[in-house]
Amino acid sequence: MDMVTSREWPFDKDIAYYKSLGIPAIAANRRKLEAFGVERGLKLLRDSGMKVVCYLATGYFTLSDPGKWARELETAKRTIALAAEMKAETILLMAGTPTQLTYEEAESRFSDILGRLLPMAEESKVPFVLEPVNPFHVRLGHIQTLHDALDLADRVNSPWLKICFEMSNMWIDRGLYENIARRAGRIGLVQICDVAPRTHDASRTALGDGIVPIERIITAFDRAGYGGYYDIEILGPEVERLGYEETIRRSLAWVARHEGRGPART
Amino acid sequence: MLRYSLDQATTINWTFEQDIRHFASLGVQAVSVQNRKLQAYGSDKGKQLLRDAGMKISALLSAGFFTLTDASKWPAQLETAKRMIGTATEIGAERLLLQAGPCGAMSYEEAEARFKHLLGELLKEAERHRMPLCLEPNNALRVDLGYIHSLHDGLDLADEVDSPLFTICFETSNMWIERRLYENIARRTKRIGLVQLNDVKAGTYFTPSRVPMGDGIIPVGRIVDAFEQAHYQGYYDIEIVGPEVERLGYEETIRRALEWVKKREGR
Repeated sequence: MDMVTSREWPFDKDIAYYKSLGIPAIAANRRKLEAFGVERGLKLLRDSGMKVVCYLATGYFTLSDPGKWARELETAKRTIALAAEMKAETILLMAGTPTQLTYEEAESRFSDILGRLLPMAEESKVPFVLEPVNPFHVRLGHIQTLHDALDLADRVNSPWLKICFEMSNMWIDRGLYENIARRAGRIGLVQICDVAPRTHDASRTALGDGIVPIERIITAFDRAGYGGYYDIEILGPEVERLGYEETIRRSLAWVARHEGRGPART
Repeated sequence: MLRYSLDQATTINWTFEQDIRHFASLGVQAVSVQNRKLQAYGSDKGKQLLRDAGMKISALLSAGFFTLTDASKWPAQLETAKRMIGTATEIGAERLLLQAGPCGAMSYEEAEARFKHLLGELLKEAERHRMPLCLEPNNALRVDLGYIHSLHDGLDLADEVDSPLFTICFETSNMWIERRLYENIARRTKRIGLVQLNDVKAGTYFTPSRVPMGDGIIPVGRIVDAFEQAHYQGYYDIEIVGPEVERLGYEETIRRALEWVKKREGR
């Protein structure tokens, strides 16, 4: 369960609530951890026995201004060290804002940055998972499709750079099932959620409440031998309306049905 | 001189007549006609008004919206689209904008196979009228409008179809940061039938939420330069829609957009 799903809850409330539901693993949120206190938070995580599948997030490089990179790389280095300390399986990476650069100009600069970042990941033994974003989230990064991100990962060809599959943004990508079948080894995290019909923003819904063929996509990942986690990451106005408990309840019910453990949907 | 038109979607809540009179008073010489407005006003009256105003029509918007998941709906939807090809011809539109339609839970490839079948049928009618069709890829959030979400993928389909009557619409707010943009503009401009101009502000998280050119973060000038260098021959259609337009008001939105055009032309 991704802590973003219960966006306004504090770190300790997330852990206590998720644990009470028997959730075995979480994606830990940096903002929440820092607000709670890093040392206390790390101890709480250790005591909970929960696996940290991902630490969110680092990067956000000002691609248009290399003068800022040294400081941004220092921040990333500290975040990577923290991810290693909590034994996170991965650390989420956002490329950052290209401003008015073209895709290719932004990618060239981001590749330079990756050249400095990846040795840090290797040293800490925590791989990055890079998340492509909808064009509207251009301040977060220049890459918008799974395909383009996988091309970058192929080119970089490092075990320390994987791609994050974010369902609401990628479910209708061209070549989706072919990419899953052929390049699942490059995918380090699958964030699952659903999208209600006629959604025109980045609003997500509980699994099964929308139009995304989640089952089909997960089956494709399973068939491709994907070995990572399926991280439930649901955020947006519908989650706030429904409430965190109900959003999580519905999503876990979907998971139970997927595993054949729950009642048939009525 | 930039060959531009003003899209009636920019003044979404005005009537057909209000649009044409206001646009004409500003010296705008071409318009993209919204079929909804035209039909509400009356097709014959609308045609006459356009003729009297001396306005060229860069495009008629929009046909298609096929239910790709349900073939039983296609005959009626094809009939509607064919009628629109006729309307576009009657009013003298340069092209008819096309939306593929919702793909349900199908994959991209499944949706495309079905759309190609529909396109084949439509192109026969387009050929009969010599009316070019122009397909608009949409933001990935707008799966209710279509399954194609990038210029590149739209152009690949156009290459495959390889018909002079089938081109792609470049919609700036959706395509400005995509991979291979400038390469595609340079290499495949002839496949692009309409360029919709607009801008978006930083921190825009839903669609459509556009602003006048120059008010946002998109390098619109650089993109237009690329089209000019590639000898793009079509219209630059100013299509600005969203809450910021409603807040600013249609007159002010248009004023700013036309100001951008003037600045670009050095006037």
